[in-house]
Amino acid sequence: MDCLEAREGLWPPERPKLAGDAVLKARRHLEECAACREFFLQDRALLEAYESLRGTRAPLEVRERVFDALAEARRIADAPHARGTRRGGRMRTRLGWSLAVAAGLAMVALGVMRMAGPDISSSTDAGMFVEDYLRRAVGEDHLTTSNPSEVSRFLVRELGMSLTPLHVDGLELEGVEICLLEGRRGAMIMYRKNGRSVAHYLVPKEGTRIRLPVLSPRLLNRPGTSPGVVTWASPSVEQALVGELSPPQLLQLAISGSTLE
Amino acid sequence: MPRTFEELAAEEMDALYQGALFLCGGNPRAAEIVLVDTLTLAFRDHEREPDAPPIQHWLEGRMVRAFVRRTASGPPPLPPSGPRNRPSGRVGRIGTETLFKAAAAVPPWPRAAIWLVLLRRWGYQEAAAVLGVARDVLRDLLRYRDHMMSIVLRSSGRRNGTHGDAVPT
Repeated sequence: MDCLEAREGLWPPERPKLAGDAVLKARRHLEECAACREFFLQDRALLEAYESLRGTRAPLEVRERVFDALAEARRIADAPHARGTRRGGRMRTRLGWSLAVAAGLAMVALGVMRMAGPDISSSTDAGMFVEDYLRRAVGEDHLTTSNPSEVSRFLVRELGMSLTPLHVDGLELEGVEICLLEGRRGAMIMYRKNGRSVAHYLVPKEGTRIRLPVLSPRLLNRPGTSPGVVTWASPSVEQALVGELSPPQLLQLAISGSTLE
Repeated sequence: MPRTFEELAAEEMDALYQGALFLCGGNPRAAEIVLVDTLTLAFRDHEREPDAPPIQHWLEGRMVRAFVRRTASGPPPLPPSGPRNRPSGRVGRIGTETLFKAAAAVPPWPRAAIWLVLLRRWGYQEAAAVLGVARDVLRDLLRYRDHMMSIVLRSSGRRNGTHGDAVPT
């Protein structure tokens, strides 16, 4: 048996093998061959070098490009039966949401512009969530559905993360769409509670640590001037609830409906 | 509950990206292209054979095919010419930069073979099958591993062994 045969016969070296004739011969060869022993030592070092890459994550922008490409591939694959539901739903929901929030927009915009007081930090700035809430007249990709599983699949496809909508009695799921907050791609899940609209923002951000839900301090200072905002974070995801409910109601929704996993 | 391809891809994304980085010699832009190619091609295949398990192994196979398709011109190269010089040396910790540099010095076909067999621990037969080459050809491709190892050892030699990459004997 030569070196190449022995190495192939013992490959991969860490996997147990039945001690058949070929394996026994290969083991004998290894005992007598310094070159093969060195080969396996070097192999271990190469493998360890490769395994040191294990902590390397695909950057967020790479994940976005992958999921954009997959979304395009799926759009092509699903073209005959997707057109009606998605486009139609988009139009319906856009109209519904526009009407639902239209009355509050002017007051809310004014309130946002007048907001004063120190920011918490750029990453937890409740104002950015409010601003995007007000920009909903135009949007990106969109799905109208009351099915939480469909929303989860949409989020995996569009953001590359397993995320679930809030689950609280009386909170009706209406759909989800992609949003852009300070250059970051995220999602806005839309709900209705007692006829009032509520938006749940999820913005992936590497390095984000768990934070419990809190009312925006800025809004606590100026109650009644804009929609309530509650912010919190799960690992790698900034989250917020913005809507037409009172701040305590939003806080209660966030606490009872969210998971921090 | 059946899972979508996107859910499966999300779980495997980091491992595939690490593989793409090796295949592309540490070039992140090229790795991104290979990753996008891999997953869009795999998506189409997955639509046709949704029960193809296990997904990690299956995607790795798709990735070397995508890599070879994009980077290799022509058939697999002949084995390295000249007398076989066994790279000899005691190897310490190999840094990822050294690993990428050594990978980049090997042509695409053998790089793909080395990744599958030496780094992802595929068996010879299945690696040959996924690359679409005979087993003898795969053995020839794997001989480029010695060239890669020589670069690792040389790289550490230039550093006089002070950076801990590898220690020549």
